[in-house]
Amino acid sequence: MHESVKKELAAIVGPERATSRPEDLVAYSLDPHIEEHRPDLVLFAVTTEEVSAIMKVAFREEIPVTPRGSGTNLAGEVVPIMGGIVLALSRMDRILEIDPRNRIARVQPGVINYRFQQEVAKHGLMYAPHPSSWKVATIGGNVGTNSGGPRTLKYGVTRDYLLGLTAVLANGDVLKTGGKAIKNVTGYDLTRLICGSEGTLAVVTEITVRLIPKPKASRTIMANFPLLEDSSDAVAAIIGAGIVPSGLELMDKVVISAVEADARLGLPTDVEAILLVEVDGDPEGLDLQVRTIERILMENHSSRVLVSRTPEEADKLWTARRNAVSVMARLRPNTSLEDATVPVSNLTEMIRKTVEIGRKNNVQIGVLAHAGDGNLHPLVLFDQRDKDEVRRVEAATEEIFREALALGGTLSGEHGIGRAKARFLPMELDEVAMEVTKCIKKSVDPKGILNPGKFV
Amino acid sequence: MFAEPIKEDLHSCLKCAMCQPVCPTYRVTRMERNAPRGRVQMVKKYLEGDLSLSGGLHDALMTCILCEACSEACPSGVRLDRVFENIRMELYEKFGVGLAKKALFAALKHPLLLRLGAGMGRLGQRAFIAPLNLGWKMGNIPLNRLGRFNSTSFRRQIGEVVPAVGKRVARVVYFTGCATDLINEHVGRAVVDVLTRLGIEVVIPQDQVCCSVPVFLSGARKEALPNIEKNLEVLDRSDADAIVVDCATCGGGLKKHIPYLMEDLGLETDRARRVAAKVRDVSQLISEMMDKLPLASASSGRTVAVTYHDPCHMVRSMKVSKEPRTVLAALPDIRLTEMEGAGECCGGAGSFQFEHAELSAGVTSLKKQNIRATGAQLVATGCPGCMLTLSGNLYEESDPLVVHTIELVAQRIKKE
Repeated sequence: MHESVKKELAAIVGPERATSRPEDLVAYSLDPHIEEHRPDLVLFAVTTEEVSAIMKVAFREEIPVTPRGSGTNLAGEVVPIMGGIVLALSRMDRILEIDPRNRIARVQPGVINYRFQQEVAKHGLMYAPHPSSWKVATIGGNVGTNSGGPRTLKYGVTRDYLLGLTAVLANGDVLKTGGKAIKNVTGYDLTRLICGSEGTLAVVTEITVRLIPKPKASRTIMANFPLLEDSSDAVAAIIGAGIVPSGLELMDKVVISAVEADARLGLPTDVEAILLVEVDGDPEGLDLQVRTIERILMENHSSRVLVSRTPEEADKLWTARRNAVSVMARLRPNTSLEDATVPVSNLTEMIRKTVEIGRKNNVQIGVLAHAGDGNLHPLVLFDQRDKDEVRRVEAATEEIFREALALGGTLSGEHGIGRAKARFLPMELDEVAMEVTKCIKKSVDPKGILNPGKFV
Repeated sequence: MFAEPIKEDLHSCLKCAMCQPVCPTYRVTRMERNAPRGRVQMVKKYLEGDLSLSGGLHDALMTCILCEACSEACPSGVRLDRVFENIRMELYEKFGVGLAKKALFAALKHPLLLRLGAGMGRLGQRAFIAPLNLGWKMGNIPLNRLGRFNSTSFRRQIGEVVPAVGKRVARVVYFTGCATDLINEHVGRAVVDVLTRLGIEVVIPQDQVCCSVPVFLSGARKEALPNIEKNLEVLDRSDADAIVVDCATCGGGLKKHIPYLMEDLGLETDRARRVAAKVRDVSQLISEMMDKLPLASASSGRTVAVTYHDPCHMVRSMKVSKEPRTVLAALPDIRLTEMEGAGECCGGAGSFQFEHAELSAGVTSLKKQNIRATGAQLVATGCPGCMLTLSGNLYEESDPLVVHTIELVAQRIKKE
């Protein structure tokens, strides 16, 4: 990037919010993905106008721009693989409006999901999208990746709660989509198109979301299953009984053993799966649901069922699941968390195949899953410095994707394609779908400057 | 140089950013250069030869408060605090420290110089009343809120041994720290009063010196060694049941940072670990003997709302957070009310608040909000550093007073 252009760009935000110090470029060269690349410049914008002015210069000069929130995304979405500008929106972090009467809110993209939840809870409301990284991740990032999380079975994903966006296009034009109305079928649904586009279509600078009443109570049930198949049958039976749990998490044998070895929680290490079921709603209705779930779990050969009576007990039951990722991560230097997702009826088969793939490639894999929506989280452990192991991990990962697709599933349930899965995209999208994707991209970003080198 | 086993930790960073929201400086600037992940990755790239030991690296690493919240939050167990302490040593060896800090280091290393400095400070405070009241500030703290120096060293005032009241049940060594010795004599008196009333003989070695935490956490690890050696020699006594501290920083230093520093430098750590095992915060001792504490009876209806602030070096370096609360909750006429984020840094961090005043003010303002939201009349804590920062920043009429936990205990035991 030419020095004069750098100066021009820096002048838009001022010297305090522009940097090309090598240390800063390093800090913005990365996200949890393995690949890294330094940008030429990092800009911290705080208004839509600034973002627009930056995009105008970038468009004129054909400079790549990678928008970024907290950088917790798991598929390399914010690694500026072609250099250029990292457009950090972390400081654009104001909650602009909470309107309890219409149950909507307007936020800037840098607002942290957790903080937003705290604020809307004061009005007895809830913002449903709740990725596991909620304490760190921004709402803007959630929109960019269409974040899900453990509650999606009941509550859906980010896309389901978006009402409108303000977004800056590649040429600097400011696009406003949707509005405050809950129902809106006017024109193409541009709001939902931009959601999940991983910063390849526009830079989102304001977000209007729908809120829902916060459930008054919740209960947690933990069940041990000597046989994996039985746990899947139990999941199907619970949903078949008309109950939609707010959480339905599965841990496999590898994960259970690791957590138990670490924390000695008294988990059984001779079972193939532990299911955690959470239901929420009015306290009166919950008792009945809990009894039904208990019965279904027993009927499906759970060897032990534990029901929480207090929030503290529920918290205790969740300890194992909460610690699972970090306990696994401590076993080896590197961990990659995949998210291949299959129709829920194929969950057991997918878990079995994943374990088999791990064994075949001599790779350590533990499986967590959002069992209710068939979303697997294989935790793949390795040491990045061991080239042979990295190769085996790559092979295993590819096999997992192939298997998920063969079972009618998808490459990614919630982490996105980004850089990590870009080369696998044609496995899932056929030529027509790829062509339409490219056409859309080209029509709004003809010079291809928005987050290039990713899935389109 | 950078300790090899700690280098290994850098390979375990998942770059997941779970450390971001707990980092006090990131919360203020929302920039990776002030976030643990950003800093750790810079160190990694420096060690891999992709970054140099530059001014930018110095800035990023020296704006870290070393509050240890990130180490606690890290899912893959990266010991970020030790990474930062190691890199600071390299930065120190290249960049040194400013003149003011140099003078401070020299004073902390030489007890006579330190006492001389305190004496001059006291004279200065007496002679120059005017600027104290003109609203002049040092960092974010008005000069008249900096606290007054003791008339003479607390250790000298009190002598080497204070016998237990009644039957002796234990003997402890009291490591007073510089703050109590030179500024907060009232805290020292409270410690001695309460412990002796519990039947504890208090030994105050007169030749103890500064714990040197401010010196080695700035990176001057080797320069801190004479003080460390001296203290270990003084404190490693088999006839003491515990080594008691009233300062979280001294405590955290003795308990955790000094053994790690010696390990990193490849030195013998046996003695440091023996001493570390015996170090207790004064609240720990008291909480174990609560039933023996001769508490005054409650006066009807005059309860004071107290909130407790966890010093970083207490809650994380020493892993002490329950005991001070147990003690406070048991005191008559006190209602303990929790603030939000009690374990978050107050933004002081010793010289940090003077060197990085703006960043420090940002961190402190969050703490102030949380304290004020409790409506408490008193903030209790266990670290003279936090006491300075909190009392220096809470000076509105409606703001609570800042006290050391032990002061409240001392006020609420029956008079002899």
